[in-house]
Amino acid sequence: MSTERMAATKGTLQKAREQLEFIERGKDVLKMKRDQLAGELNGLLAGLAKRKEVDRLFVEALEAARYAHTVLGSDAFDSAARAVSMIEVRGVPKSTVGVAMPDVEFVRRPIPAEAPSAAVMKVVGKLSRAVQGEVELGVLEAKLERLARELMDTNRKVNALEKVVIPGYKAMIRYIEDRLNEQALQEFFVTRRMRDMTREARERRT
Amino acid sequence: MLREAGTRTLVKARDVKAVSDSLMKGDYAPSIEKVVGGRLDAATLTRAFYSVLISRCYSLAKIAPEGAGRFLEAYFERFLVEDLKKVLRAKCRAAAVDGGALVTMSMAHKRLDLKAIAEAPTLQACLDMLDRTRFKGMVRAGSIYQKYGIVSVLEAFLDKAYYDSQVGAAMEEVPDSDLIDEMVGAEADLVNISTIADLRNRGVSTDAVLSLTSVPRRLTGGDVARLAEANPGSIPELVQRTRYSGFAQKIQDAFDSGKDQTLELATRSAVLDQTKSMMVRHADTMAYVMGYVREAEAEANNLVSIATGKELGLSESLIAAAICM
Repeated sequence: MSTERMAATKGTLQKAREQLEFIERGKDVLKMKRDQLAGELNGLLAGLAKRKEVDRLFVEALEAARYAHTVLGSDAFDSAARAVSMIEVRGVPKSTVGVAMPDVEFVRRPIPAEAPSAAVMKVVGKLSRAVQGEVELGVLEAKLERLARELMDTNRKVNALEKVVIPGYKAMIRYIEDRLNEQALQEFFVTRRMRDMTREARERRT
Repeated sequence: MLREAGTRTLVKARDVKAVSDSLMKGDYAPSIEKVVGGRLDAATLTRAFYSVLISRCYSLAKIAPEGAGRFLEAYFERFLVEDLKKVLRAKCRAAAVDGGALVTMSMAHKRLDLKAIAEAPTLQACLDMLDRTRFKGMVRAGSIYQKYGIVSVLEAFLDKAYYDSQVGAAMEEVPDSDLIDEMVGAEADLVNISTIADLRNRGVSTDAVLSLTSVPRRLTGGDVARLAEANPGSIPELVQRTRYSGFAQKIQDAFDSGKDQTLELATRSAVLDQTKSMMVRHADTMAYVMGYVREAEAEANNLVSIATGKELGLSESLIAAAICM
């Protein structure tokens, strides 16, 4: 905050003090937002542990699919797989701490019983859980990314306020106060000198 | 036909090409050459194997005496049934039917136009067309399908119509009809048990299941009713009490998710076991011819599994578990 050409008046000081107070309040709000975002982020991070489980499900589904494919042959496996509904999801964005968060809703999930072959039924059960898990993980990762970005932005703002803007305002207030004090002191000496001079003149006359 | 040792050697083959090369020395050579052309993969080989099976079966029906020939033709409707199942699966999801996957597409079927059925615009249109053929009752099965949303219901009805109307009607003229009745009867019963276990496992009601099972042959009506009323978990125990006790463990293994057994394999393997025992006991009868047909079918299925397993890089033990010998 540059203090050059700053009019060191009581009015400016008052205005600067008010602005500092407002900025500090804003900083506190941003800090609260940062804490809340960090809390949300921490809460979601635990969900990433599901990755191992989803990977395991995919491996199991692949193994089951390879075996079912082998038992039935390509044409029969393909035809049995066609009888199963496709997974269908719809985006339903939500807002958390003012951040637009991606989310999905499963409109349709494949039902293992739809598979006409018992071998393919096992595959559908495992693959359906794996794909649902993958979609949920994808949403979770997107949420984490948004939250992390928002947290970084908020942190940058808090840091800028704490380390640049607020110290700048404090320096400016100090500068204006010093200037006002200097002015007051100068006025005091001038007044005293004037009083002394007046007293000396009066004594000379008497 | 391949011997058991030959099949085991194929299981140990390095890859699909090695499987194909081994088969180029026998009956399969012309079909593999014709179908595969420049492309060698399990899907193409699968069609070659089934084309050999179809040609083996129908040449047998052609040279067989009248009664036996008619029965065999009726028995071979199983290939058409499998094709119809593929058509219905596609129609359920309003998907296009892959004509190349239908093994009987090029054949002339009596009073049934497979091409027209495959091209039907909707599932309902397909069911209506089938209802006007020997698969009468398909529309009623369609209403059960509407309730449960599972195509297995329609497939079960096709099997029922096949065993009750097709095969059942052709039984009388066949030589050694008592033996054939025993073989086909056991097959129908095993398929029935498998269908009941499968449909109950999918949550289909007892009444619906009973309406979708074929007439029991060696099982009693009481056996079938008990199976259809049972919880899926207790079906193996109930099968244990019937004359198909050997099938009980296979169903149990199929229900057990940790095992490589499936209901399809369990049924195939149980039918083959029964076939082998009949072939040994009645080597100079029509039962032997039926045995040959079933072994040819098992061989085609085994070759498909071996070629596919090799292409997918499955271990020898898993491929061995996926075949029936």
